[in-house]
Amino acid sequence: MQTVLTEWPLERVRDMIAAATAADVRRARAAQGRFDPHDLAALLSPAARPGLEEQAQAASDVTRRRFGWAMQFFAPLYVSNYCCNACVYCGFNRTMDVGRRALSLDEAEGEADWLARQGFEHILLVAGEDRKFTPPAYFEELIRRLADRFASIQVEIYGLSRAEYARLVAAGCDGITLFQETYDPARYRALHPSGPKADFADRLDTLERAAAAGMTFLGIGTLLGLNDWRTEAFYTGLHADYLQRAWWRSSVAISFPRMRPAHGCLPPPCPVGDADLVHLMSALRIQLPDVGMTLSTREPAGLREHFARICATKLSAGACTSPGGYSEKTDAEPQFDVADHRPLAEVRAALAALGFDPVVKDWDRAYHAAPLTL
Amino acid sequence: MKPLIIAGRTFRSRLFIGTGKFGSHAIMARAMEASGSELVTIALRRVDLDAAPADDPILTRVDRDRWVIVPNTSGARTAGEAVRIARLARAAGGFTWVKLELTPDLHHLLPDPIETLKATEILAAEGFVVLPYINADPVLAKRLEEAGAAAVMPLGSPIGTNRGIRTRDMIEIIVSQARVPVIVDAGLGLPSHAAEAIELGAAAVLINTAIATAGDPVAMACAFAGAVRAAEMGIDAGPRAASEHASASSPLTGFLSE
Amino acid sequence: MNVLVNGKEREVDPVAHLADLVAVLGVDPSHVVVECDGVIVRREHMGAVPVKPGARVEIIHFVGGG
Repeated sequence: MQTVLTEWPLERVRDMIAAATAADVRRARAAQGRFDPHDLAALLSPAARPGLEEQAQAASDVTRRRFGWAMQFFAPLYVSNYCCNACVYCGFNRTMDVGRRALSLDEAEGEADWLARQGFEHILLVAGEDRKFTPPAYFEELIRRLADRFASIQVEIYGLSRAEYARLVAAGCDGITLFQETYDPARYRALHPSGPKADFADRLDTLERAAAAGMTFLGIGTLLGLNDWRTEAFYTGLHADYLQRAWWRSSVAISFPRMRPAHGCLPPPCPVGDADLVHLMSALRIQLPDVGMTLSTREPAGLREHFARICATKLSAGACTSPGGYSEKTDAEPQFDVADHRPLAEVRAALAALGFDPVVKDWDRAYHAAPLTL
Repeated sequence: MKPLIIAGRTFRSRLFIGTGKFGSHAIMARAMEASGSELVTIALRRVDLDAAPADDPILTRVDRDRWVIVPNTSGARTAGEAVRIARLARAAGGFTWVKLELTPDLHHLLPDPIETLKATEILAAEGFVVLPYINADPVLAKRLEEAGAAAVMPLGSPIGTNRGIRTRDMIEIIVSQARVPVIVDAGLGLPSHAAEAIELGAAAVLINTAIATAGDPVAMACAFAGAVRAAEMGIDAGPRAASEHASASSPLTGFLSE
Repeated sequence: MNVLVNGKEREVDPVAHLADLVAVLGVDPSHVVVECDGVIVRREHMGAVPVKPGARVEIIHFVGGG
């Protein structure tokens, strides 16, 4: 992926997007299926804004053809907010003096059971970076315990080595989400002053280690609001196309987290409005018909339904972003403030009313590469 | 278009030419010249000991400084046979590029995917630049990439049939997923077929029968060169795709002004 | 002596080594590659490789192909 970034330096990308004309946009909207950075730039450009409704319709067409009416649901399970990184935008930033908590394996299992009772089959384990409280072996054991209760277990945790990822896969993990946050190395340096996450190149390489270790599902994204959304969406598109070619047995999805208030953290330097979000998501959808698109509970009720009609294919629900928050009240600091507090059943009903098929299970242990004792 | 680079070698022409089926080596050489190509395939066969000795060995017609010469493994039906032919070609002339043509099906000359994959693994590990000829199977193409193939060569239609591109949908998928150049080989019968392959996203085309068996092979070589060049120029000129009406449905962005 | 050349049995006058055999068959060694009992023999070694009765020899050259 580093080679891809080198081929597309920031200046070149900015110029290409700025120079796109209405004719370029028309051509890009009509082009069928083949990923082309020039077309992506046109769809992301200011010239594409006047025809946003048409672009949203095109994105919706593509999504319906590829995904039908299925809307996939999952729940995040935060197991620890201890962190050794100092990312300036995050509620878990180690320099902040806030309530910290790491769940024991039994406690985490209890939280997971609560989620299973709500009906979730797809679960995402999330944690800050702390190898003392939550070492790789912790995740390995937790995944092993939960493997018989969930159809799919994915992780959104700090970067591991390929061997460590392989152990998670063997334990029953089938996916990883890892946001590059920003594809601009200079910006990245400023936002990540210290800790292992400060290494931009290593962050980029981490997903490849996970894919090489056998992870089926690869989730990427930038934190919208940190930087100019047009260039970030462009690089995200390049990254998704690259992963689909290099890891052709894996399935790629993009998440679209927009910066939300987090205690003590910087407000978004480049806020992304709702129209901007429609613009960038529809551009990526037209160029990448097969990638999943995830919107979390960072986004409010109602808004998520609008995006489901356009091109989102995966939603979380009833989420809690602080460890232990599902089964009990907790003082532990959340990663961000949730905006959509509706429980799973309510969100499913809302999507069903719009004609969607709200799916909780879209995978199965039986597809898993690693042999499990039955 | 992206420059055509295979194993570090840049090609200015996207037309590759085969040397079989020509009436004579002299015509073959003139057609090769007229094609403007930079890559040529040849084959290996047992010498016919009962015939008069050949006085016009094919390689005397092919300047090694001007051409990338690619022996093919035609005749091989198993990976073992193909590997043997490749090693013979390397021993005979130092040729390290090889086109894997593994066709146990003598009726249609369709390639065996399993033997082709096995042979690719072995030869790539021995340092050959491997160009496997395959049916237009996207998964096979990715498996061959992983095995070290320097390009993949999906067929347009069976060898010698001149039917053009009958595998269009699959070639589109191969092109969209490939990380190595895609060269459409076999079955291209008319210059328009070659242009179509390039417009589909192929990096190059390999033409043999259509040129060698034409009434005027030299003129046909020119015609194919023109078609490939025209397709390339058209792509670089930034064509406007045929438009498709999006199906009208209720507005999706009305909520933005609420 | 009997040798198998290009898949056919041939009766030839006894020859000491491959270079002789190739000459006896009327083949110009500079445009062929020779295999003896499954092993490729480089041109410069053909004078040193002995030919025994029953040897399997392949004499191969380049031709046109697609």
